[in-house]
Amino acid sequence: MAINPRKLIEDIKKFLAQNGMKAEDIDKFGQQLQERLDNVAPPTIAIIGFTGVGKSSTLNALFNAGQMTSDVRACTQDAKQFTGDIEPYTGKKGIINIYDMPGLGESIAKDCLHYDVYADILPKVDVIIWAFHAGDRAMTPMQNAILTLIDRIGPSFTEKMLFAINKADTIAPGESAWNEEFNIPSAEQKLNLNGFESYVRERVKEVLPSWNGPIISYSAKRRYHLDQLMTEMVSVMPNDIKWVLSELADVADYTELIDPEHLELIKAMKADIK
Amino acid sequence: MDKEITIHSPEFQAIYEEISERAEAIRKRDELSDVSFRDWLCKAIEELASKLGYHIQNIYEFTLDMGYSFQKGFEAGRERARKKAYRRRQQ
Repeated sequence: MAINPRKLIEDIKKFLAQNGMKAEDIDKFGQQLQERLDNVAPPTIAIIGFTGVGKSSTLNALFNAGQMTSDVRACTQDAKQFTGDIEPYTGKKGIINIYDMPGLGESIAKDCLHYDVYADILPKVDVIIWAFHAGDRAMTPMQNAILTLIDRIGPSFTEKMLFAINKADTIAPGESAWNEEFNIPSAEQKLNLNGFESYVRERVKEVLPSWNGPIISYSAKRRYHLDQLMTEMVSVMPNDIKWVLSELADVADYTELIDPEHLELIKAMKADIK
Repeated sequence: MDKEITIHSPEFQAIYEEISERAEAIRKRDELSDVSFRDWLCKAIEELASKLGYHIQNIYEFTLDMGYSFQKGFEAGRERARKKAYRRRQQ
């Protein structure tokens, strides 16, 4: 991380002195700026998806380098009564506030209850992640939710929304097709992932014709496309706090899961790309 | 698994593409974060200075030259700031 608060404040103090600020005011300024930096609010993320879609493993892969946290609540995969409570997730570099939102489609009655909570919470968060399993073609509940929510709270929430398709490694023809040696999808899986992303985009555009937000296929387990997912999360955040989420990112390195025999090749590629 | 990989292997192309895409994603994130932080900092400096009774000119230029860029550190940030379109957009 490049922000060194002490150095930053020293540089700003020099700049202020050069621009004529009195010494006692410079000290006050420095203290107040330090307080602002110390008290930047953690980003708030709403993750929508059924239990088992991989919300905990995704958070661990994005903010804790793939390690399980010691926070039991962040690790649990038990179904829980959804109350709309915010849960702090402690990543390696700091806290992110998470709203763990249940998936839709279980029943009409439950969806109606969930809409109330979505309408309350989604306007408050910085990023909304709709999480799906790769290959799960049941899009009607998501479409209904978007239409209902636009009706209730207006369309602005769709600007901070992205679709995250987890378990990319399981897409047809199946997990056995995944190229474990290089930790990448097989050619057929890659085609199917591209096809599924197009499918999701078409379904979203049926209810939001002008939406051109991000849709990312990834695998929390294989660490595949995590940097792409993190970047798109940053991109949909409000501009003045994109840097806060980026500061907290601790993305698991997917090249660590590549066969060590190919390390030299990977290093040469990375050097070439730089 | 014993397998010789050459630049002609399909796996080579596939993995090269993945690593390129990843590098590009990180570069894009750094850029978004740089601009975001500078905007945040400018606003903070202006507000705090104003409370003390000062109006600071050239604050955006200062944050560009200060170069607090993500990942690459102070000097690289200064150099990159000079080249970036952000400065041109401000002119």
